[in-house]
Amino acid sequence: MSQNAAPKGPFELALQRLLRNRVAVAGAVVLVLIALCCVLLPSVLHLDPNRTQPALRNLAPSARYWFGTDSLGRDLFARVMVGGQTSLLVGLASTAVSVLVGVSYGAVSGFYGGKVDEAMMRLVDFLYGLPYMFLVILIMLLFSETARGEMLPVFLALGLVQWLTMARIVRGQVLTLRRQEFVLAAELLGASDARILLRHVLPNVVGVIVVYATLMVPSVIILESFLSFLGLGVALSWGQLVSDGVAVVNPVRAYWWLLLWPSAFLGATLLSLNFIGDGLRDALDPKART
Amino acid sequence: MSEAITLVLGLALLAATAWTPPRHTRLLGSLLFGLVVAVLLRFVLGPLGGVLGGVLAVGVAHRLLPALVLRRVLFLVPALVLLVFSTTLLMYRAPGNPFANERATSAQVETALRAQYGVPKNANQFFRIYMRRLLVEGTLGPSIKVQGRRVEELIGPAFPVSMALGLLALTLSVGFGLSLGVLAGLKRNSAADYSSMAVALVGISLPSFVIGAAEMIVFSLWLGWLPVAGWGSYRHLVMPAIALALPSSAVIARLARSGTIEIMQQDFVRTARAKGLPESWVIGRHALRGAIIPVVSYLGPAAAAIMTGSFVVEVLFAIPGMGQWFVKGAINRDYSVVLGTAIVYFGLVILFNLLVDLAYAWLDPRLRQERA
Amino acid sequence: MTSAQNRDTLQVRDLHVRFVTRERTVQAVSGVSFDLAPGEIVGLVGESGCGKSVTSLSILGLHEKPAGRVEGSIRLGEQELVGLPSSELRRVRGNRISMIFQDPLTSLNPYLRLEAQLGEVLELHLGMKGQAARQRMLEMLQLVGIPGEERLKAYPHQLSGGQRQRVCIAMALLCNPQVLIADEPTTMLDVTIQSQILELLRKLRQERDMSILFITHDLGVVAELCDRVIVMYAGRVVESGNTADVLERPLHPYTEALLKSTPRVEVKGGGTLQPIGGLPPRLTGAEVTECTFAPRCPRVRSGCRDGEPSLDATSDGRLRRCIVPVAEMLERP
Repeated sequence: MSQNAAPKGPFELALQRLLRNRVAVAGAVVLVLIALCCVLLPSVLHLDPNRTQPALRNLAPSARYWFGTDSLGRDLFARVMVGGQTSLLVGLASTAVSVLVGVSYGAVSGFYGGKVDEAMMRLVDFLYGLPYMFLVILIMLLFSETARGEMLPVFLALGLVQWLTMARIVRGQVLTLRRQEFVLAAELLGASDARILLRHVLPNVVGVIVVYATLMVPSVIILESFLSFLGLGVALSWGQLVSDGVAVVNPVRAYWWLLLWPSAFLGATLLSLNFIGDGLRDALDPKART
Repeated sequence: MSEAITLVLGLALLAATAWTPPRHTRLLGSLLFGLVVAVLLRFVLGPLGGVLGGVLAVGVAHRLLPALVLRRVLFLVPALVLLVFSTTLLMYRAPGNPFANERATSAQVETALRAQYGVPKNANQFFRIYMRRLLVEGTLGPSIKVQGRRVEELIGPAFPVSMALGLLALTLSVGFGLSLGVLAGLKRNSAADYSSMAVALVGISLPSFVIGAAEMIVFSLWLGWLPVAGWGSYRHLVMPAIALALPSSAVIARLARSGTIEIMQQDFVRTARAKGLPESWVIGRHALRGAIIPVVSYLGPAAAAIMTGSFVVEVLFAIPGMGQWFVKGAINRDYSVVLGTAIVYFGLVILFNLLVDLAYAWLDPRLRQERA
Repeated sequence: MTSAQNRDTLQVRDLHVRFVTRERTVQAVSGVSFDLAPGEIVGLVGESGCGKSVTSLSILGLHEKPAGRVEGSIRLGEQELVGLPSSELRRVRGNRISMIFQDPLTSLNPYLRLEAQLGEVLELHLGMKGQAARQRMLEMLQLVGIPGEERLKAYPHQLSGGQRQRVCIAMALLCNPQVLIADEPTTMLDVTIQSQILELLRKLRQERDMSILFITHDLGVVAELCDRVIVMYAGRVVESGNTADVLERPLHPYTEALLKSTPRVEVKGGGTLQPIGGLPPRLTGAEVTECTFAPRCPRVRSGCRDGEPSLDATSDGRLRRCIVPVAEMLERP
């Protein structure tokens, strides 16, 4: 090993470690493949998820209809791909909301400490134990008429479920970092609170944020699928497809493909995200690996 | 905007409870505790029983309950009220109202209906009427959509169904998750470890309805061992309970595993071995308690997750639980039904979290100092 | 209370301890031998990483398996401890040989009362329960300076560090062991508490005729407490002998250097401490072709790199692993 190579920064080392984790890399590959398929294939192959062809209903997978058709004769492959767009988009956007709200809240709480922190965390502790989904479902139910087709309320509602975890984690990190010497040094040099927070504290928290954000995406996707399953979804998504599949389950003819394909995609996406998240966590803090 | 003001006032009151001095805490906490007991007993024993029970409860609480509990009660009871109020606000803010859907109702008819059911146009007013009905008359109010029935009559039979399912799921998830996790932690990096954690990962990655649907296909349609859906016998409980339990048990398994590993590396475990204790004592008497603690702190969210999952599972397996009342009520804008289910759900969760806090303090003696 | 004749000697012969992981191998201890006679307090000294703790953990087989491999012989009287199945070894631990550790704040189970932690030793080894057990626990706590029945019901976090270390000592003595291994028990305590603990150990040795193997890096503590001292470096014994002899007339450059880097009261003010330059060697288990201290030794000469010196006895019964003539060492530069 050359003595003259520049030392690697912590992020580079972490990236190296991540790439050595085969499971995480596999997950990333799968995820990217799924995402690309869902985003590109519908336009490239001119897929129509909504074209009903009653004569062709409930066909098993074939060369023409790779995933088969549903009870209205719609192409399941098209539906799974387009549904994926919704599920993935909701996952990303809602997580973005969670991260924004959670990080701000947690950073402020951890940075100022004392009574402020205590009061803010009390609220979090309390909200943490609530069946938040209850309120989310309520919101979705109540606004379902006006919200049909509108994604923003969904993102907000779902995003507001997860911010608590992020807030707690960020607050913990910020609290510890706050007392580190380099922060005190910055204070002594006269840096403003905002500057300290942004330039000194947050960069050190980024790693943790990325890890937990990655692990939150699957939870949000599951929540959205719950909503779709209950019939509250705003657009076609994997959850709704599973619900459709379940509706026609009967002892005589189990139309297994209607359940299998959306479930498989859902499961694969979630598993991949979990693998990547775990891998990121191990990469950023190998000492914590158990 | 009077609603917003009320909300802010409520939040301020809630925050203020954090600053109550200890003497007042004991008194106020006991009073609130008694109030809750009175309201609950009233449903079962009638007005006289309720009052008597309440007074008794105040006495018992004042003398016997630890300060920790009373402080929590002081915060949680107003919090519950605030939650119910927020739910009311949400419903009032949403488009539509209970009376608009029927055949075109004229203004007078609507006013008459509103007076009859006690559902004014203003959320504050409705909330006042509702609370008065609850505390004074001891009822959750009439259902607007189900003629002639009161809310407690509707959700009463559904409550034990949901409770049975939920408790079973929670027990399964803790039992299964804990065993799997501790075993994995003890036999770290072995085949048992990797396979358990793989199972756990799958459990986290599949929503409960997918698991439920898979169960249906495999155990009902292919193997014919269990009934597909519905309610009525023990066999109907199995699949929904497993579907509900699996995601939480996966999380618990992972927590138990990391807790076990961490504890086994602690110095006092080495001391225990140095004393000559057999491994079973080392694990059972020394390590286990600490390993369980992260699981206990997750129990609150676990219960909430199971509650969340129950909506979906009850729909999937056509189980006559509270979930369907909540959903129907919300769709029909049947305010009293929604509030009734909300109170039950929130109340249960709050109670459960309180119990978990107590268990936590019991498990870790370092937390037991009473803050003067 | 005890009769000296029935006490056994602890004999360590040619101890080798190796740790093997996927990444690397560490030969932590190479060919260490020593005896611990009844009623003796022997100090095991060296810097961090020299193998002293590893040696002590090997006696009771407390290394994590399968990484730690122990070869050689460790006998307590007639019984060979290396290779003893765990069921047998457990009967020795806490019973015939006890051990106390460095950090009293973490050595006790925070979730259990003292009564439970002390009681299980009695129940396990002596079959004592109930009133008899409590009596004995109280006696022992009294002996170490923590009197009072209410103490039994206490949790560890209710005691100070010094008190907790005393409890650990009490716990170690419950079954009247022949040997007490003390792994840096005072390192984490402040100086006044430290001297109290040392005083306690002295008293206990006297009253019970117990041997103590005292591991430390602090030569001052050795001077105060130990009858004999064994100096370790790089997993080997480099010098041993009576404390007074070794500390006043060291016969190994490493011991000499250690002494020079320790602040001493009797040295006239104005002198400088001389740290030992360089780092200890990495012990990979590869064959050793020179004296392990040679890279850092102020007295190094050409013969030092020809091969590892053997551990030789001097005329007055001391052991040293060095080719520098005794006379030269005694001269002192």
